[in-house]
Amino acid sequence: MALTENLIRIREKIEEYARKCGLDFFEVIFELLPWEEINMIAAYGGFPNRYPHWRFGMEYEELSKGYSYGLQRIYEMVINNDPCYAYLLDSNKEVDQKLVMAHVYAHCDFFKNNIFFRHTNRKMMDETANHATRIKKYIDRFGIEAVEEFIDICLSIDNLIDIHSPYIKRKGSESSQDDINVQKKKFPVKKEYMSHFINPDNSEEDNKSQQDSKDEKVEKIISNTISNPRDILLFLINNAPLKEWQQDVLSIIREEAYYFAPQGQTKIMNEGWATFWHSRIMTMMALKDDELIDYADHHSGTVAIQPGGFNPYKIGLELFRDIEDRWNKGKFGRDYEECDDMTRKRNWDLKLNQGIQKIFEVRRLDIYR
Amino acid sequence: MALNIESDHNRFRKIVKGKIRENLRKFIKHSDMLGKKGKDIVSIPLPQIDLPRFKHNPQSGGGIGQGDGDVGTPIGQGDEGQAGKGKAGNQPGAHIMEVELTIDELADILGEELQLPRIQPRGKHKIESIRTRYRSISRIGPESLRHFKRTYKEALKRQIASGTYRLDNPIIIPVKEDIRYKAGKPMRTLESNAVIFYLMDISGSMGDEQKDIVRIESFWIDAWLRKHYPGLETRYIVHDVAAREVDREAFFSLRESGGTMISSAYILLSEILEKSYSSDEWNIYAFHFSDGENWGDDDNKVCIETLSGRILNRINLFCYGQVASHYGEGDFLKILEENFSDTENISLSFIQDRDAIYDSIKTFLGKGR
Repeated sequence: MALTENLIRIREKIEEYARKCGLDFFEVIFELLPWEEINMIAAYGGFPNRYPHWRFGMEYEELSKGYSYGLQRIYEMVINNDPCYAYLLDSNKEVDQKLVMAHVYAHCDFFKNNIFFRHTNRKMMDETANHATRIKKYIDRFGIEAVEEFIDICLSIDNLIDIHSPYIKRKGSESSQDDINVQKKKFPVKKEYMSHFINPDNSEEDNKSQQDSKDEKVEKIISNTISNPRDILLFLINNAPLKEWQQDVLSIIREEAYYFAPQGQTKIMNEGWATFWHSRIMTMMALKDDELIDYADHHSGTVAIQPGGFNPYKIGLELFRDIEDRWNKGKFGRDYEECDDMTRKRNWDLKLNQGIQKIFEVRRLDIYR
Repeated sequence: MALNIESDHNRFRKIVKGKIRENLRKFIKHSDMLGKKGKDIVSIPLPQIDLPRFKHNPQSGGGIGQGDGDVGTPIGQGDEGQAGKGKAGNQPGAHIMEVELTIDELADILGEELQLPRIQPRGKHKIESIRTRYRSISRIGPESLRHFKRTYKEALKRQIASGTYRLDNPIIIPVKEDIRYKAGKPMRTLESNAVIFYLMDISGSMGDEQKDIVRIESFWIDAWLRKHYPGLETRYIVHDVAAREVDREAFFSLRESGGTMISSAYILLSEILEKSYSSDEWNIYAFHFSDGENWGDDDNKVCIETLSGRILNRINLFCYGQVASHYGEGDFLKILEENFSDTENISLSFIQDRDAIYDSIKTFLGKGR
C-alpha cells in the first residue's frame, strides 16, 4: 500500500532534512504494510519474491508469534536496492513514522556509499525474483523433495564464501564482480547466428570461453582455486560432480550469500549511522513539541542494552558520536596522543569542527578514494 | 505482490510434525518464547530447525603456529579471534524491540510466587562439571581484566633488574611487557545430578487440551528443577496398554486410541531406574499424568505393588497429576490416595483445567524434596 497523503507530506519533509544533512541516497520507495505482511516480507529477508523454502516459514512463525504476544515488532525494514525499498508498519504513530523514515534515509545513504556494499547487486529485487523462477522451474521438473533437500545442503555451507573477495583485486582473475556472478544463465540458442541476439551482453566473452581448450580450462580451475581458496562454494560449483540444476541452485545460494554478507559485516556501523542521523534529524528538525515524549521513549528503547546483552544500535551510535566529538575538538593526531597532561587532554578543544566531515569519511570506510 | 509465505509455513509445520522430510527431524529444536499475560508469564512453544553448520570452537582459538615460548606469551599479531561476524543477522535494518527474561529468572519468579521451598539435593556430590573461573594470570588479555598488582610487581622486578629503580624516588612505570591479565581456567566442581521422568497416558481419552496442560506444567517443573540441578536430564515415557520410552517431540504429539494399563508405565520406569540410575548418585523425580481411567482392579494392584516395592524407595519424589477429561473422571487418584496417604515422597493433585496448573505445581514442588 502506498503512503497516505499525510505521510507523503511527512516523507517530503524528512527527505529534505536528510539532504540538508548531507546524506546521499538512492530514491526511496516507501510502502505502508499491516503487520502480517511486514512479517512475511521480513521472513523473506525483505524480498517479496523468494524461492520456496521452509525456513522462510519458520522465520515467519517466529516473527508472528513474537508480534501477537507483544514481545517484538518490526517498525521498519529497508532493502539495499536501487531504488531503495522501505516498509513501514501501518500501525506506527506519526512520530514513529518520522523517526523510521529518517532512519531509512540514513541506511540508504550507507548502502549507497559504504565500501562493503559497493559490489552488491543493486537490482536484487529483480534478481531474487529471477532466482525464485529458476528454482520453481527445477521444483516442477525434479520435485520439491529433491530440490529442497539440495537447498538444505547448500544452506549448511553458505557461509563458506570469501567475504572479502569483492574488495581484493587478484592477479590473473577477472574483475571481482564477474567472480560473484559465475553462473550467468545463458538462454538456449538453436542456431549459432542467433546467439548474438539472444545472449547479447557477454557474447564475446562466451565465444572466447568456448574456444578455450581443455587444458586451459583445467588451468583456469586450478588458478581459480588457488587464487581464492576461501570461496569454497565457488570451488564446488566449478569442481563438484553436480548436475546442471544443482550447480545453478548452488550458484543462487552463493550469490545471495554474497549479497547479504555486508549486512552482517557492517551491522554496527550501519545501525549506528542510521541511529545517529534519526536522532539528529528528529531532535534538531523534525520533532514537534507534543511528540517529544513518544520519541524519547521509542529512541531509548532502540538504544537500550540489556545486562549482558549487545546492542549494535547503541554501540554504533556511541562510536560515531565519539568520532564526531573528537574531530570537532581536534582530539586526534600526534600532539594529542603524546600529551601527558590529563587535564589539558580532557579539556582539549581546537574548535576544528571537522566532526561531521569525519564521520562521513568513516561511513564510506574507503581510505583510497 | 506475490507472497507464498503460507505454503512455506505449511511446509515448515509439516516438517515439524514429522509428516515430511524425516531426515530433518534430528535438527528440530524445541525452544520456547516467553510471553507475558497480565501478571503471568506464559511459554510460547517455538520449534526451530537448525541446519548443521561449520563453526569456530568458541573455547580454543588454537591453530596459530609459533616457536618455543611459555603458554600465554603474546604473539606478534593476529589472535583476534573471528571478527564478530557471527550471527549478526541479515535482516536489513529491522527495528526489533524485545523483552528478555532468562529461564533462571523465570524460575525465581515462579519460586517467589508459589513460595516454593528450596530443594535439598540428597546423595553426595559426585558429578563433575566444568566451569571457567578467573584464577590464573596471562600475558595477554582484554584491558578490563588487567591485574594491577601483578603488573606493578613485574614492572618493579624489571626496574630492579635493569637498575632503574631508585630508593629515593621509587616511581614504577609499567611498560607493555609488564602488563598481566587475569585469565580464565576451567575448574572442576562437583555437583549432584538429577533426572526427571515424565510419564503420560496417551490413551484415546487424553485429548489435545489435556496434553497442553501437561506441556505447560512440565515446562514449569523443568524450569524449577533445572535451577537446582544444572545437569538435569529428562526422559519421557508414554503408555496406553503398553509403555515405551520416546523423545520429547513424540511425547507431546503422540496420540493413540484404546485402553489404559498404567502398570505398564510403572514397570518400565522401575526397569529403567534399576538399570541406569542408582539412587545414591541420582536425584530422581517422576511425574505421571493421566485421566485416571485404568483398565481394572487387577492392574491397579500391580501399580501399587510396583510403586511401593520398586519405585518409591529409589526416588526423591513421585507426583501424580490427574487431568480432567471429557470422558468423566477416573478413580486412579482415589486409589493412590487410599494407599499412600502417609507416604512422604508421593504427591497427588487433580488438575481441573489450565487455571489449576498453578495449584498443582505448588502441591508437587511444595515439599522441597
